[in-house]
Parts: sequence; C-alpha cells; structure tokens
Amino acid sequence: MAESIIQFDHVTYTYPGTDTPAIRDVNLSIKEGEIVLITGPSGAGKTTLCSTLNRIVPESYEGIMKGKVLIQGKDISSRRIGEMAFKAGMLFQDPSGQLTNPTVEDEVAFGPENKGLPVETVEKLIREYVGYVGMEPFLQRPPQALSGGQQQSVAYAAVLAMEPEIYVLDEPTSNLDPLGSDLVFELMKKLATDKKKTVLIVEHKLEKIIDMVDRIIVMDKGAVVYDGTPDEVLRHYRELRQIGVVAPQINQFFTWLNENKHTHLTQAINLESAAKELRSALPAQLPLEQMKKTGETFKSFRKFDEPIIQIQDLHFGYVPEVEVLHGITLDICKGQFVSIVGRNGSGKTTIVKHFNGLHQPTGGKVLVKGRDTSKATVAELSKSVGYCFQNPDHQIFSSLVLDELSYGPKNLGWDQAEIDKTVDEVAKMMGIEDLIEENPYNLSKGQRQQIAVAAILCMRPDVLIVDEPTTGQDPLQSRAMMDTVKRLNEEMGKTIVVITHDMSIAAEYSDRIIAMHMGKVIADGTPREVFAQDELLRSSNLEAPQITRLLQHSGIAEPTVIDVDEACRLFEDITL
Amino acid sequence: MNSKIKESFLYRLDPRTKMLLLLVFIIVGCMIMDPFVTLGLLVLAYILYRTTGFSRRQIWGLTKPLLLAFFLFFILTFPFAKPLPGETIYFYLLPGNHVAVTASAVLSGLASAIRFVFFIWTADLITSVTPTGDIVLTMNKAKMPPEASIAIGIAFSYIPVLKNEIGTVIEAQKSRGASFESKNPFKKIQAYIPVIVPGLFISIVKGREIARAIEARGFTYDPTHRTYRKDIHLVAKDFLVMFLAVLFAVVVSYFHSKRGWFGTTFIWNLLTK
Repeated sequence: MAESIIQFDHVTYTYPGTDTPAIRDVNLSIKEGEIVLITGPSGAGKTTLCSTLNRIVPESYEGIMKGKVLIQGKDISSRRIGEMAFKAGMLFQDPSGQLTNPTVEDEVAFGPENKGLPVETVEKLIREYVGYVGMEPFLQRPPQALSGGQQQSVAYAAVLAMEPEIYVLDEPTSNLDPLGSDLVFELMKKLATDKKKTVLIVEHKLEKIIDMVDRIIVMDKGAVVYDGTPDEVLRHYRELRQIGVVAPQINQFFTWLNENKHTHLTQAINLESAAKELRSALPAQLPLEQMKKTGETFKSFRKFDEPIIQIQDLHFGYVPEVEVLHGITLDICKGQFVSIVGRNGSGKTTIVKHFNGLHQPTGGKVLVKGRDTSKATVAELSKSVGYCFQNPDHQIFSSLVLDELSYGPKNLGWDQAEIDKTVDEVAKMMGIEDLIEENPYNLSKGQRQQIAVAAILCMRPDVLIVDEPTTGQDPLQSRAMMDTVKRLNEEMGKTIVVITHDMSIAAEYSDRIIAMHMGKVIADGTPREVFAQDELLRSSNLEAPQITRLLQHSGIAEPTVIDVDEACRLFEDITL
Repeated sequence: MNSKIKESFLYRLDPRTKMLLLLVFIIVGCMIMDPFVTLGLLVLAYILYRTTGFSRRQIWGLTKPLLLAFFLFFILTFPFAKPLPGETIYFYLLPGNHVAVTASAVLSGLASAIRFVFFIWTADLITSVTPTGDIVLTMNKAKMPPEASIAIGIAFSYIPVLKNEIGTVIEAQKSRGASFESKNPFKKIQAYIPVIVPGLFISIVKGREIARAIEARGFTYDPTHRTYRKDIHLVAKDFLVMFLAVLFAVVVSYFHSKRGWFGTTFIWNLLTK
C-alpha cells in the first residue's frame, strides 16, 4: 500500500479583503504515485488548494490559513516558497505568463540554477527534459516566439527539470487550441506512465484525461463535494452538471443506457473502449430503418437566403510572400448563427477580421451589406459589424460601465439623447442595468465579458462577431455566454459569427458550421452535415463531438447524432 | 536574428565592451555640436550596422518612424538659436521678425536632428547584438542584486509580448469606431487613453503572473548563491576595442575642451573662410 504523500488536515484559507473562505475545511489524503484530477467550476478553490502545496498560498497573499498541510508526513507551515517549489512543481494556465527567460534553454535551466546546482548538472537536466518534451529544435529560440502548445511544453520541461516529488498541473490546456491541448495531454500521459510521480491535475476538459487518472476530486464553493474513482464520480453526471462540471459525453450516455435500458456497461475511459463496449451491447442486426426514422425527428436547422456578408475569392497574406487565405468564397446570411471552427493558424480569425475592415483582401472582395470593405474605414464598418474580442480586458478602459458602453456610440458621432437611450436598452437586455454605475475593474471576469459584449451591442451592429467566447472558461460560464449570444440572435435578429474550438458548443448553438484548415474552407453546412464527414475532419486535425464519434465508431453512421440527447432518443425504442 | 549577425565581430564581444562602446558613443555624441562631424558619426554607425549583418531594409525600417522626430528636432531648434553677433539673418519664420533663420540656427537644428538618429541607431545596434542573458550577467558582474538583474532581464523578454497585447487593444478599439489618425497632438493623446489603460491593466496582470511563476520555479530559494550557467570573459579583442573607444573619447574631449573644436559652425567656418 503506497504511503500518503500529501495530507490536508482541516485546511481553510481566506484571502485578504474577503470574509468568505476560498477553501473550507478540506480533509484529503493523496497517496504517492497517485494521479488525481481536481475539477469544479471557476472559483471552487482548486487553484488555491494546489497553491498551498508550494506555500504560494498563504505566503504571497497573506490572508488567514487554518489547519495543516503535510507533505511526506511533515507539516510545511514553517517552510518557505523557495524551498517548497522544489517539492511541488507547478505548471500554470497561461503559457506566456510563466516563460520569463530569453531562450528555451534558459527557461528550462531557470529552476535548477535557482537551486544552485552545478553547471554540469544543469546542462544535463536541460538536455534530458528538453528532449523529453520534444523541443530540441527550439533550444535557442525565444519561448515567446513559439506556438501556445510549444510554449506550454517548454514550461512543462521547466517544471520537470526541477525534479519535484509532486506535480501540480493547473489547467495547463485552458488557453490552448485543440492541437496545443493534445500536445500537453500527451505529455501529461507520458509523465503519468514514465515517472510514477504524484500528479495533481486541475482541468475542466474531462474527456481528454479521464483515462489517465486514478481518482477525481470535485470541488465546489471551496469544499470537496465528490471524491472517488472516475467510475464512482462520473455516474453522478446530472448532479455534477448542476455545479458546472460536465462529464464526458460517453459517460453521460452510458449512465443513461444503464439506467433506462438496463444495460451493465462499465464506464469507459476513452473512445475506443467505449465503442467496443457499446458494440457488445448492440443487437446483431441493427434496426436501421427505425433509426433512420428517429433521425428524421432530430433537430432541423434554420435556412437563410439573404446574404449580409459576401466573400468573393478572398486571398490574404500578412506579408506578400506568404498567403494565408487561399481564395475563399462564401456568404453569411442575415439572421444566421454561424460557427467558424478550425485549429490555430487555420485562418478563422484572419477571415473575420476582413468583415470589419481590420484586414483588407490582397485579392478578391468582401462585401458587407453590399458595400466593398476596401472602400470603407473600420469605423464605418463598425456600424454594421461588431467585433467582440476574446479577452474583455483588451477593450475595457473606463472607470464606469456607463462610459464604457457609451464609447462606441460616441465614436460614431451619435447625439447624447440617442446614446443614453441605447445604453439603457442594451443594459436592460443584457441584465446589467444594476452594474451601470460600477467600475468594470471591480467586477468578475464573466461580468466584464458581458460588458464587453454590451459595449459592442450599443453600436447597434447587424452582425456580431464573437471571438472564442468559451476559451479559458468553465462549462457553466461558457454556456451562460453562449446563451446570451443565442438570445441576441433569436430575440434581436442579430447575425452571429462565433469563432470556436469547441465542437460541442458549435453543434448545440449553430445553424451552420464552417470548418477551416490551412486557409481554406474544408466543410460548410449544418452541424449534422459537417460532422458526418468524419474522415475529412480527422484529416484536418478536427474532431466532431465525442458522442458523434462514439456512434460512428460503433458502426452507426446514419443518422449523425450531434449531442447526447439525440443519442438517447435514437436508442429509446431499441431493445438492448 | 540571422546567423551572420550572431557570427559578427560586434556580437561576439563581451557585453561589458559593448556597454562601454555605447557609453562612448553617447558621450562623444553629446560633445560634438557640428552637424557635419555628427553626420560622420552617423556614417560610422551605419558602417557598424552593415558590417554586423543588418540589411538596408532593416535599417530603413528603424529609421522611417524617426523621420517625424528628426524634422521636429530640426525645426524646434530655431526659436532657441539666437543669431550670433553680426550673423546674417536670411529670413524670419514668423511674422513680426520672430524666429530668425541663420546659418548657425540651421546647423544647430541639423546637428540636433542627426544626433537624435545617431543615439537611436547606436542604442538599437548595441542592444540588438547583446542577448538579454548577457545584459543580466553584466549587471551581476557589476554587483547588482540578482532580484534587480533578473527583473530587468524579464522586462526585456516581455517587450514583444506587450507589443502584441497593445496591437490587440488597438484593433479592439478600432473595432469600436476609434480613430488614432488625428493631426492634433492633444486629440491624438486623448484618443490613445483607451489603449493605454487596458495596456497598463494587462501589464499589471502579467506582472503578477510572472511573480507567481518565478516563485514557483524556486527563485527565492537562495538568490545570492544561484548558479549562472553562462559566464562572461574579457579577451584581447575586448581590451583592444575598449582601448580604442576610450582613446576616441579622450581625443574628442581634448580637442573639444582645449582647442574649441566641434562647435556648431566648426566645419562651416572652415568651408566658408
């Protein structure tokens, strides 16, 4: 039986300036070599809990700490951060916020150098761990010049080079695109299998890591609410959803089958084993006709025919020698909800920056409401096309929400009465009328994001572009944001263009999905039409939602299901 | 940075030699008031740029944004350059015989403007050929506390990140109808407030993230006894360059103070006598 390496003994911690504890009365024991997933909504106390292990909490923040944290049986309350950093190595969310050295080599050497290790040892550690994460070709490159996934790999190597006993990986993929995330997940799996170290992973994307963890701890409002094996915890998927933790779609579906179809499927931990498990439960002869009929009752998508944005043979390059968009032709229709999906560098953001004139075509044309964007300024186009950037902090600057909302209309030269009326209407519609006299910098990130959207809406654009609204957000926050956007589409008739990596979100909210790869549109249609093209998506490093792939891999190619609800309906009348 | 620059003589000098070189350029640049000699210094800087491996395009890319400041340095000298006794006044810039245009005023304006470009060029050249890690090592050799030298090193590494962030802020505000094209400098400054405030906020947030990250990498373990993987050594060519640089500064200083050379009209007087 492995020894307990970490022990939280009635740990409560309250940040300075607040009365509510960030973590409350946490009692946990984690065994040496255990791989533990800590999940829960934003603000649940996950990062605070992990930060007690290297003493960043409470030393860097002060605040009030009660209870004891023991590592290898020793109380660490009198230890310093500098010392504990080598016991519990921590990898953070934002790769660019943790790379502080001029080259990859210097970055990896930073921890061992801080420990005062001999130069030869430091050099050996650099070679070993840069190789481990596959970054040898980039040794002399500035980390800031690398892609997000590569940056996080370098930060990972920097933690590995400190050779700690405990690894704390705090949402290491939340700011990365799927390709970067996959790279980091692969490294996490490698660490879990090779090093036999204790690993604590804080993560929202359960489906990617569920197969490598021994245990799941779910936190909510500072307390541990579930603690057990993945199988034990994930069967509570409905309760988990209530607090903002979304179980992988295959687990949701299997729990439904076990409860409603009285199957005895074991909770699969990855797509392959799930497909195998499902195939074994299916009848030898599938009722294909019946399934097809059920498929006809699935969600149908709205049709639109009046173009508001017309893209005609669009070519673009940031420098003349390198073209990044290669002759794109498509129309975005009035009132449509469109999601543009694709990996980083596929051209998603580049194409939408043509809609409001931030980019000008190097070939072809973009017409907004019939007007050629090359003959209009960004300010003129902003009356028709609103662009909401991913991070609200890139646009908020006022000390009052009211001023923030008025900024756009003032730039457009509206009179004060008109501005006041519009701000009032938009604030009411967005449900932020109580925040109008507040300082945006005192509000939560979710509220700031609402204000950023409201500020764009105050300019009354016909088209609203929303750039990666779910990146870095927990599932509840993502859903709240997407519900707001959907309301704007359905109630106000706004045309919506969302850039996203999240295929499940795209499937749930969109009338149409445009999939891009290397500057070209590779698929364009309803979510069902796009997800039916499994081979094509995979060849472009894109993935349909997990439930869609599960049924495709289990031999049910038709109808294409796009969410768990449809999968359940498909099996409702089938005897298993 | 291309490999030619990394293999150049200047790049391979010890960072302390390069810092001394920069210091000498600044001192000499401050002593010389004559525009023709200052132009000579500029030519010297250009030769250094080119022999180090920088292309004409790179140099022009740096110089182009300086042209407005060059013009301002030139024109703003006139109100302060009083005509010398007996000097011919060609004409006045403003009605009512205000702001006289004389040979000394033109020369002084040109010298200021060329000197400005010379300072930017030399500072850019020396910092471009000195890796950030070397700057940190130089500061350590100068017995600066490691906390200070690492902080300065991080600041250098973060310039491109902040530049990207500011670029995004500008795009976000342009998308809200903002215009940064005003000719009026006061309006222009006002227009940039929606860029400066988010820029500052993002810098503070990043600063806190960085502080947490370097603590998590054990920076506070024992800063005074941390290992520095690389070391810097002065070799013969460094001593030679340092000697020549100091000699250059001494010679200029001697002729400037003892013989009164390199004043605003130094070459002009020689040419017009």
